[in-house]
Amino acid sequence: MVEDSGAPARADGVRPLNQPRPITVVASAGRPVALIEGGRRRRVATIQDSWQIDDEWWREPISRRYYLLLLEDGVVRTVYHDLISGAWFAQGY
Amino acid sequence: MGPAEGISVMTIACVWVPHFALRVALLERPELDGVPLVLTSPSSNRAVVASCTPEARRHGIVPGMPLREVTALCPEVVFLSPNPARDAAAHARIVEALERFSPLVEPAELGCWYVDLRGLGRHHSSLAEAARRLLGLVSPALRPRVGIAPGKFTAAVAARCARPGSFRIVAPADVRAFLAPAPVDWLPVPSELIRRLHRLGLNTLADLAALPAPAVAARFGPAGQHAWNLANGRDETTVFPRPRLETVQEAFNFPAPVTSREALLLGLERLVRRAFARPKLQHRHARQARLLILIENNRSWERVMTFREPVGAKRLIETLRHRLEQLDLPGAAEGLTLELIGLVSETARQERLPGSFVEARSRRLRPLTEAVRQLKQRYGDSPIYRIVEVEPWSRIPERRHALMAYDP
Repeated sequence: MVEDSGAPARADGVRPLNQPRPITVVASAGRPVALIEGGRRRRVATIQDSWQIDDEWWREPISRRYYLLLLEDGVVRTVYHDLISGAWFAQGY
Repeated sequence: MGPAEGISVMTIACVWVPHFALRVALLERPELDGVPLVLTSPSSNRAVVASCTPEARRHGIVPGMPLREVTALCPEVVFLSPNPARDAAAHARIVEALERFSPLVEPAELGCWYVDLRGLGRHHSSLAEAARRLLGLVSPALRPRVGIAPGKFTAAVAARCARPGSFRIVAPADVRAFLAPAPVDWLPVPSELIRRLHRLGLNTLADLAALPAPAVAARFGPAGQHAWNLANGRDETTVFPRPRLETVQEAFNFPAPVTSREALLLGLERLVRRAFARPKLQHRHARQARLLILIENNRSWERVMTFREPVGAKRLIETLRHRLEQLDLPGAAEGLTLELIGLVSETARQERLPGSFVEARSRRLRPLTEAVRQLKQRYGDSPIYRIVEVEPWSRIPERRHALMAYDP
């Protein structure tokens, strides 16, 4: 990390970090079985962990089911299923 | 809708001059109005059409077409050479005129300006009057159009739909219906995305707006999501006025056109000395210089130079000599204009007492600080970011940290 310069922050100088990235997921019974990225299909070897977060019900509600996946090529990925819109996203947790 | 109410609700006007460079050229040669005109590309190995008038398009001429094909298609076509300096000056004059109308004016690409109309309700009896006054600020020979709408994108589409010299106003309730028939080609998104939309049969904004948002986001990513929002009339972007920079400008005309590089550099040296003799530049250095060379036959050459460190007169002359070593102008130079931008005190680089911890840290950060200042001068904002904690305790990952512009 770079040290704080002490300069006042401007709203247009702030960028989000670790934004969810849309991803194509093949699911079976609501659970991911394969990821498709760059036209390449990779099978899910195991679901190592799964958890749900429900938050911010007082403004725009957030309801996500996260999955920590071990893919067939040994890569570990975290994806979530947006339970409100139905879309899948990749995001580090 | 009442007039004052209109200006408080509908916020943004887009003033648009299509084929701006060609229209500016016509200001000097009005007899060519109505003739098929082609603006050639700036000096490059391949001579192609940079822009063309509707009269030329009727003959099948399109931007990017080689000039040889143009003459075959339409022998009576008139070719005009690019003059970026003249176009930039005309663009800047319009910005100044619009700034007398509203303090919030954003110069977008050449020939397009956004004006924030909020708070101007008392100055104009109606939106139509505001639009007419905006049109009056631009020469009618440029055939300007004005669009007024709640968002920038809708205002730009409205301006495109207006006839030359007229305006189009879109009420907030009508935005979606108004945007529906517009082609997706008008979306300010990468051309690759536009091609993909067409391949899927999504040709109008209505086609795109009808799709579910998550599906568009999943298929096309953030750019697709942005396009979907615009197609649905969701446009939160505000008007960004241009930054007010302190500058010094000096101009000089040669008694006779010069062709030798040495004569050019001598003229430039004289210009630099004159600029630094101005009281505004006493004990001050410049971070950036814009050099404009007027070339015979109504052409020009322009270059913006950003320096590694703020420069004084002597250093600037040396740098210009070095950078213009390989300069190959397409004709004799008739005049020079030098603009110095980003003026700082010549003692801006303050040294610290040696040996201290503060001094060691400062020395370590100095190259980074200087690099950020250079980048900021060149791009307007610092493109270097640092990670800051926002809500480190949040269960939502994207809320925990953010990137904040590093602005020393």
